[in-house]
Amino acid sequence: MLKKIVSGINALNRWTGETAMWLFIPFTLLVAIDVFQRRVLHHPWYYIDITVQLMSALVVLGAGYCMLYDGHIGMDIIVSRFSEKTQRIIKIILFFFFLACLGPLLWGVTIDTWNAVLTKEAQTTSMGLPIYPLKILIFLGVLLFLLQGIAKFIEDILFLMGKSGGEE
Amino acid sequence: MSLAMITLTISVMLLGILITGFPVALSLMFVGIAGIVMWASPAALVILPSTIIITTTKDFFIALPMFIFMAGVLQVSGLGTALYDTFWKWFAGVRGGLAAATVAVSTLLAATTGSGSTATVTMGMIAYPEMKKRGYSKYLNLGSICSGGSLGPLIPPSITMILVAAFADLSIGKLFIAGVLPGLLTAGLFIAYILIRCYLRPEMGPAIPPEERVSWSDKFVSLRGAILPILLIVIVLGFIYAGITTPSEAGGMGAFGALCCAAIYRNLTVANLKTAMASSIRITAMIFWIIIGGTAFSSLLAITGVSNFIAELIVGSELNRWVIFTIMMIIIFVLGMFMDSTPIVIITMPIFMPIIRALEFDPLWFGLVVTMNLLLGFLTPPFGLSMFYFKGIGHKDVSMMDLYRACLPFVTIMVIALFLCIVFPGLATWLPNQMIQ
Repeated sequence: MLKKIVSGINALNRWTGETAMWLFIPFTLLVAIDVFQRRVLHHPWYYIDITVQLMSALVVLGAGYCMLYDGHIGMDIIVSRFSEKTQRIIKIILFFFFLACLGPLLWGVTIDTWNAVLTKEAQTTSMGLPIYPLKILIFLGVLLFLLQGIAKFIEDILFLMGKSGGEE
Repeated sequence: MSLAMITLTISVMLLGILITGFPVALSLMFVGIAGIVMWASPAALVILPSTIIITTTKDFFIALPMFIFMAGVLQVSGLGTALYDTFWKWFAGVRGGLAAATVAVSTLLAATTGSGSTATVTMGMIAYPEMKKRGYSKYLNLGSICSGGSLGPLIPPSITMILVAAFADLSIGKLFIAGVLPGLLTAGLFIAYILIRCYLRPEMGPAIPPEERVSWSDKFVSLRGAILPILLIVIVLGFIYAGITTPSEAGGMGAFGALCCAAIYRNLTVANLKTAMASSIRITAMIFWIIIGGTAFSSLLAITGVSNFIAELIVGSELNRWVIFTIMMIIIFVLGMFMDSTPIVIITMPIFMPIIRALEFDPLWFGLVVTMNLLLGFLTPPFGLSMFYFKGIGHKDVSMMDLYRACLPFVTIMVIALFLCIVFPGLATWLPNQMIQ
């Protein structure tokens, strides 16, 4: 049962990351087209409002995906000398620190997103592009980040209980 | 609680949580949140969601994901292989030539990508087996690859420099250009060291036998391999220097150019593209979350007044400004031995920079010197990122110890280059001051 939850979360974050990463293509193209319009055609059009939103989406949706592959770097030189079991115990303790970060963050983001949706919030730039859809993505990103932390936590617990962790 | 106590508590908390191996991004965020709850009020936590939205939608930062993606694409593009082929043909007949070629190719790759991983990984895959086959000394072989890779962050474009510029309030474009001469100087010293060493001791890097060398006409034909990289460098750095594009725009052009290069070398397959995008989104998320955590952390420093406290303490200490400068350099160097450059920049720059300005040092020069200092961390144990990249390729016959030993002479050279830039600030500041505004 727990293993199913872990592999479910892993699959969800893998899917999210591998879908969101395609945003690099429109992102690159928009920045390149922007240069062309601005410097060659001398007819600027504010793509920048869209590109910064794409960037933001990449960052928030990539958070859980990055964690899935242990991509959030830490200073593990000392800890990596301990036995696997000790390392897992440390990680289980650290999970509560993780919650202390992501809990308030998710709480704050939820309220912020809720307000943004209610007011149909828009960017304060000249184009006034709506920003509330991005805020929904930020909410989802933080939620997925939190879920991935929970999945790692369950994996560590399962490992200590003698069962093999989730997939991979 | 006095400010001194608060400063001490924050430092101890941060160090205590960092050494557990907890992700740096979350360590910074945790201390930020805990501190705000303790010394301000829980209500102040409303800044948390804004740390995400403000940092991730800042147009200044567009350069980051763009140069990361550009590096990811170039890594699978086959550009490194083509370049190495060119340099092999020109240098293989000289003693130590293959190691020198490795540094030269790494330098060019560094000028097209923002990180050190592209050069280290590409050269580790193609140059390492080649030099091994030709009987090069293992240490020279490994040293040239890792040190060449470490040039990545010094020679623009550079992810590290974007971060330094962002957190030290400098112009990215100027800092980029400031890195050109010191970068070429360091690369030149590396190559000189290799060639002199092998000239004196030919067994370290034997020249390949005359019958295997290529003709002059082949050498000139092979220059084709250098056309695309040089074109990319012109588009990215040349345009920034000429004031045609901002660094962010140059990043977009560069990433687009990298895609074109991959297509020209017939390596733009869906599988390669996916590899590049997958690693890019992970690195982008990793770096940005450290920035987000760092923003939470620095708002704590601002709310409690700790940053001002440290600045006043140091500026008011009446120590010689060079003593203060040296202490800062040592702090960054020691942190660099244990940590990645991103968190070091984010933690130290907001504290150091006001002091540097108050002491009337040139901020641009300081930013460049800090970048060079951070590079040393790429090659020093125990956390030598360049070596980890190399280990990641999976050559079984190389131990971490081999790598540390191999890098030692190159670290020494880099320290010399750093000293030269400290003593002759013009090396860093002359070129950017010539820039078209």
